Amino acid sequence: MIELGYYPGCALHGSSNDYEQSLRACLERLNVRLTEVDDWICCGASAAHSLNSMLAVALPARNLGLAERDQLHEVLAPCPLCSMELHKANHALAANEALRARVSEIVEVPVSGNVKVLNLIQVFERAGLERIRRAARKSIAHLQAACYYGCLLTRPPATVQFDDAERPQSMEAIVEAAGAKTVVWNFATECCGAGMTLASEKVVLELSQRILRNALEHGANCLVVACPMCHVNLDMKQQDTREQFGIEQVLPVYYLSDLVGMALGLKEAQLGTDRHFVPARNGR
Amino acid sequence: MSRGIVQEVPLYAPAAASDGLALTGCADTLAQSLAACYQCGKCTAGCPMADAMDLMPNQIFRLLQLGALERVLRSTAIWQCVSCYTCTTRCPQSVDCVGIIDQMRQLALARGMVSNRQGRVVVFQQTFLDNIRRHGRLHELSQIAHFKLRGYLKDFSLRELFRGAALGPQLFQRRKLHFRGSKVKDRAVIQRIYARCSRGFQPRGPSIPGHQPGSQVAESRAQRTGLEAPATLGAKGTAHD
Ligand code: SF4
Ligand code: SF4
Repeated sequence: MIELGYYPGCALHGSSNDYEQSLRACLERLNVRLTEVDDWICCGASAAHSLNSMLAVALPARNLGLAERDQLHEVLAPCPLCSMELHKANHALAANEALRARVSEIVEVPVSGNVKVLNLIQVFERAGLERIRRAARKSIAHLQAACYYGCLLTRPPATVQFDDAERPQSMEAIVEAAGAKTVVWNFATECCGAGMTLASEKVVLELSQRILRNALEHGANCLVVACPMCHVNLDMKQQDTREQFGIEQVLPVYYLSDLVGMALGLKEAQLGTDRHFVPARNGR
Repeated sequence: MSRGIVQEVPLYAPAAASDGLALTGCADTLAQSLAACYQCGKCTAGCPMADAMDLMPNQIFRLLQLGALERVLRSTAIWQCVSCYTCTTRCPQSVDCVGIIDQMRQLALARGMVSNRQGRVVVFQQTFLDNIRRHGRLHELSQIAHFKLRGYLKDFSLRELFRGAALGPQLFQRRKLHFRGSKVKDRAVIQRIYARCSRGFQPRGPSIPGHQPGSQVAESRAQRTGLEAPATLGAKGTAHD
C-alpha cells in the first residue's frame, strides 16, 4: 500500500473530472491510496504568475501548508500546471527564510516548502513498472501510442526535476509496461497552447493540428496525455481542428491512467473513457 | 491604492537599485538574467506562439536591454506568450525568459498600457483570478460567462460571444459541466490572502471596461474582519532578503 496526499486542482473537479475518475480507479487497483488535501484552493495557474507575482507564490503555498498540516509529505498533483506552480512555490520558499515567514503569515498556515510534489507518471513509477506488467490482464497491444508530454510536465527542468526536457521517455516506459506499443515522433514536448483556448482559439487549433498530424504521420493510433488541458485541446476540440484543417483520421486521446486502467481490466464506464469526445478504442 | 502590483514583487525579488536596467522595472535577479542574453535567438526558434507575436521573444529581451521599455509593454507578444517555458528551458545563458515576460505583463497592467487588441487575453486572466477570489476554486461556468461578457464589452463581437455555446449541452451530457462547482469551506481566508497580496491590485486606465477592482472588496472585507494587511507588505524595499 502506497499512501499519498492528493491535490486534484480545479480542472479535475470541473470539466476534466474524467481524468480524476480514471486515475482514482486505476491507482486503487495498484494499491495506491490518495488522501485529498483538505479544503485545497486553486493554485492560481498562469493567471496568477502573469498578473500578480505574490499571489503566484501564496496560492500554491496555502495548499502546501495545508498538506503539511495534515502530515501529507508527498502529494500527487495530476495536473502539470498545478504541479509546476506547487514546485515553483516550493523552491522559492525553501530558498528564502524571510519569504517563508512572510508567506506563512499571508496564507495563515506554516509552510516550509518541503512537501514533495509528484506527477502521475512518478506515481506509476512508484507503484512499479513490474507490478503493472504483472497485473495487466487485458491485452492493449492494438494500441500504438504517441506519448504526449506537452509543455509543463518536464519544464522548466530545474523546477520540476523530472525526466529529460527534450526527449522524455518515462511515459513510454509505463505505456509499454501496460502492454501497448509506442511510436517515435516529433511533437512529444511541443506546447498545445491550451492556455489560449478561450482567448484566441485560432492559434490553439493551429498548434493542435500540428500535433495531431505529426502523431498520425508517425503511425500512432492514439495519443496519451497526463494533462487535463492537453486533453481538452486535443480531445474536445479535435473535431473543430480536424474540420478546419482537413484531417480525416480520428485520434482517440487517453489519459495515461486510462491506458494502464484498460490493461488492468477496468471497463470504459469505470475509467470514464466513455465520456471523451473522441470515442475510445477499448474494445478493439 | 496608488501602488501597482509590480511594487509587490520586491517581496521576493529585490528591485534593481540604480543601474540602467532598473528602467526595465525588472527586479535585480531578472535584470542580471536579462543582461546575460546574447541574442542567439534560440528562445524564438522554439516558441510555439512566435507566429502570433508582434515582437519575437529575443527581440523583447534586446529591446529591454536597450531600455525601450514602452515598446515592450505595448506589444501584443507579452500577452500571446502561453508560459510554456520552452524558451527558459533552452536558453544557453539561463535567462529567466518567462520571469521577465511575467514582469512585463504586470508592469503593462499597472501602467494601463494594455491595448484593446491584447485585451481578451488579459480579460481571461483577470476573470480567472477574480473567480478564484470568489470561489476558491475555479467555477468554470461563471468564469466563462464573465469572460464572454467582458470580452463582448470590449469588441462587441457577437460571434465571439456565442462561439463554443454548442459545446455546453455536449459537456453536460458527458457530466463535465457543473452548475454548483467544487466548493471551498473557508472562503474568507482566500479573500484575506488576496487582500494581503494585492494592495492596489487592479487594472488601470480605460482599457478594461467594466472591470470591478477586486481588491477593494477584498480589502474592505479584510478590514471588517479586523485583519489588516501586514504594514510592511507592498512597501517597496522592506522585504530585501
Ligand atoms: S535563448 Fe537566451 S541568450 Fe538566446 S536570445 Fe533567447 S534569451 Fe537571449
Ligand atoms: S514561454 Fe512564452 S515566449 Fe517562451 S516559448 Fe513559450 S510562448 Fe514563447
